[in-house]
Amino acid sequence: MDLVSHDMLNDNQAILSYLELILATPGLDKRTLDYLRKAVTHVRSSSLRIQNVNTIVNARKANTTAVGSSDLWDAVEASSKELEVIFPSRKVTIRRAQRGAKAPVTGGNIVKELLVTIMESVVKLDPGTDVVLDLKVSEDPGYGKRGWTVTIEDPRVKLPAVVRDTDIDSVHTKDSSLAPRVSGLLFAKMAADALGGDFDIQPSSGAAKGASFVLKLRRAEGQ
Amino acid sequence: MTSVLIVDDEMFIVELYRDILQLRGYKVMGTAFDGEEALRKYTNASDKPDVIIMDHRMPVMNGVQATKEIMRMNPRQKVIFVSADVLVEKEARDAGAVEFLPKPFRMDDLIEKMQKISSG
Repeated sequence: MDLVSHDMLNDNQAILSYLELILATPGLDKRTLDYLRKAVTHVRSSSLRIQNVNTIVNARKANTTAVGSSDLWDAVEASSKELEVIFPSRKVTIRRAQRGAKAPVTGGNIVKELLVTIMESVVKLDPGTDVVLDLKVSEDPGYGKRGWTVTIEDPRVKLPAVVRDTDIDSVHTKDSSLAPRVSGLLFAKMAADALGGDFDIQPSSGAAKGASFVLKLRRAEGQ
Repeated sequence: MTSVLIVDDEMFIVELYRDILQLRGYKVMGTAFDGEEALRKYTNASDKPDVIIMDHRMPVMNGVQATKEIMRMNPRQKVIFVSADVLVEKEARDAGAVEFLPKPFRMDDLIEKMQKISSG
């Protein structure tokens, strides 16, 4: 799996770069440019899926110490920037909390991938062209060996009914046709579990839309 | 003109970097398909490259090992590490890489990092 995903990412690198070269060609009409930008978005999206599979494989085969640690605030900043690139045709605003003291969490680079995937999934489930996500980080002394909680709120996100009523990790067993739409959220759950943390979706009570996406991460060992 | 050594075991990736970097005005002074070949070319080069673009997963010698060896010869050498394996970033930076780009990346991001290195 590891080798296959490595080769697929190399192929995507070539596709992405040649699309970029074509995009830089002067005189392209607007429709062609739109098609090319959409193709770029899909290559990036496909790469993220491949990386996610790879990440889960690595997180599961390594112990949590082996995957390393990272500063949660760095991961929040990097993932927010990456999200803007993923959706060039939509205006995505991330209102995030002011950077706090260093927050070392278990997960190394996986943490950024996790945040990108969660936010990407939320944006895809939000029907609006302009999307505003509220991202909060709080220290969670009551959680396991102490850790941090990242809460991403979107008051307009429309969760499929089965996602509202079922634990995310069993959604695909209830309705397999949903799996592609919520694969990012499934990944988040699997990756968070593999890191000794947790991921949960809390739909707004009594409303047909809106939800909080809550990621819990363990404090890095020895920190 | 900033000179570059490209190290990657995939021929199509080497060609891609070479074409784009040359289009953007960089001098591609050489290519290598594994870490050992990169070391040999680096050692034999009378003019060292300003920047080395280094892949990780390659036969014979991987990118982290090759970076360590090159940094041992020349601690001031600038290495941009590129890899599909995001988990190798810390190892790459510990080995001496100044930048890390996970594949696939935008070529503009690579160029931006090259410019940063050249102006620094």
